[in-house]
Amino acid sequence: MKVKAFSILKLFSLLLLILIAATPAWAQSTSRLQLDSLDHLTPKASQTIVINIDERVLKLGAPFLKSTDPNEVKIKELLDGVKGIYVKSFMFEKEGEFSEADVQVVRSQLNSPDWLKIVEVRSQKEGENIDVFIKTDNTKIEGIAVIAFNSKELTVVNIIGSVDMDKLRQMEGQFGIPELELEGGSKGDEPQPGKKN
Amino acid sequence: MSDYLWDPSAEADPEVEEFEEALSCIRYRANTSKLPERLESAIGARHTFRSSHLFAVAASVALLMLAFGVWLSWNNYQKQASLVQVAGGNQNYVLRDEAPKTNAGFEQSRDMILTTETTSELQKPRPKLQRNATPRKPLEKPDNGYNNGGSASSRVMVTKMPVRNLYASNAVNGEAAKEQIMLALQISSAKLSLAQRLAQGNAARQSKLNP
Repeated sequence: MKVKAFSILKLFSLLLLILIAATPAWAQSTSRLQLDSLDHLTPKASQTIVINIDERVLKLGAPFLKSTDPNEVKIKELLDGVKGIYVKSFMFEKEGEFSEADVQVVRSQLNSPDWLKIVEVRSQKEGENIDVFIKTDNTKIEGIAVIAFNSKELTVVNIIGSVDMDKLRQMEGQFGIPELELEGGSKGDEPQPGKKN
Repeated sequence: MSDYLWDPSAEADPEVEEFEEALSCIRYRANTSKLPERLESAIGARHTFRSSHLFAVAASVALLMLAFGVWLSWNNYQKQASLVQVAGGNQNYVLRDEAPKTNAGFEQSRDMILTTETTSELQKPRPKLQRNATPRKPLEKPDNGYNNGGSASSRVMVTKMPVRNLYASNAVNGEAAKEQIMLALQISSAKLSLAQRLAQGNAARQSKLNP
């Protein structure tokens, strides 16, 4: 009887240790979206951008951000706490190359209570649809997910780690990063009527 | 008092004998008495308990090391997979274009390092982001299955980078990683800005409708 009790104790302690060791990896993995399901869109897309930056690449690139350049210093500050940036963007020549189901596969991963949808834009006029989700740990952001799509473009951005969203948003067109001329309006302007995709 | 007190072989003294009898309970015994069985088994169990704990800790450490090893190799595999979208080849980056007539501007590929561009950017002069790009050279024919079954005008950024070279800590790879980070941030910030602009636009329209 005693031997059995000790065996259970041993097993329990082992499980506990494994659980403790696995928790950080699990927490990180839950912030990361599985975007492999979108890979089938690659052949249809006229342009595909796939960016996978994990912690190791961040560490590799961070020292090359010059501390003498104030803009790059700001980027460095922004990246402090970021553990990964994953982007998949597909641009299509024709409309209807991807379906709502493709979007739903990604969206369904954000249905857990950990994720909170903070922005939902459905613009009939510009045809833009954007959802912004954040994952928080009560005090800080642990992950950001952006799903943006229109009739000819689907982009999913997944940032893991804590990041200042305002600073990130303000980066467009700054710091030597060229401003993306996204359809739906240029910076500072309201989206122009009739400029539908 | 008789000599019995000092010499036990002498004739016994009843008075001393009575004392002896009374103090016999605290008499010195060469062999210590055995502990009660219950107590003894408990001590034995404690010993087993201690050794079992040592075993558990050792096994846990071994398991953790094993798990760490597995995690490390998996992580490396993931990194390799993530950084090398399409493995093989010696080029760093190849911009593939399968529509030479309609995309005259892309007759030459750019030997970029871990950077990708949007279509509109490609048609414009090189922005500051691409300052490290090497001179153009003739377009390479696609040699992977990324675009199999795709449209004739498909254009896909294909990463072709030997993993060992990527992880070698040299300036080229660091710069390449930096460029990739910048591009990722660019796209992220662009989408967030767009979301904000559209949300603000909607809000402004709403307020105009319902002042």
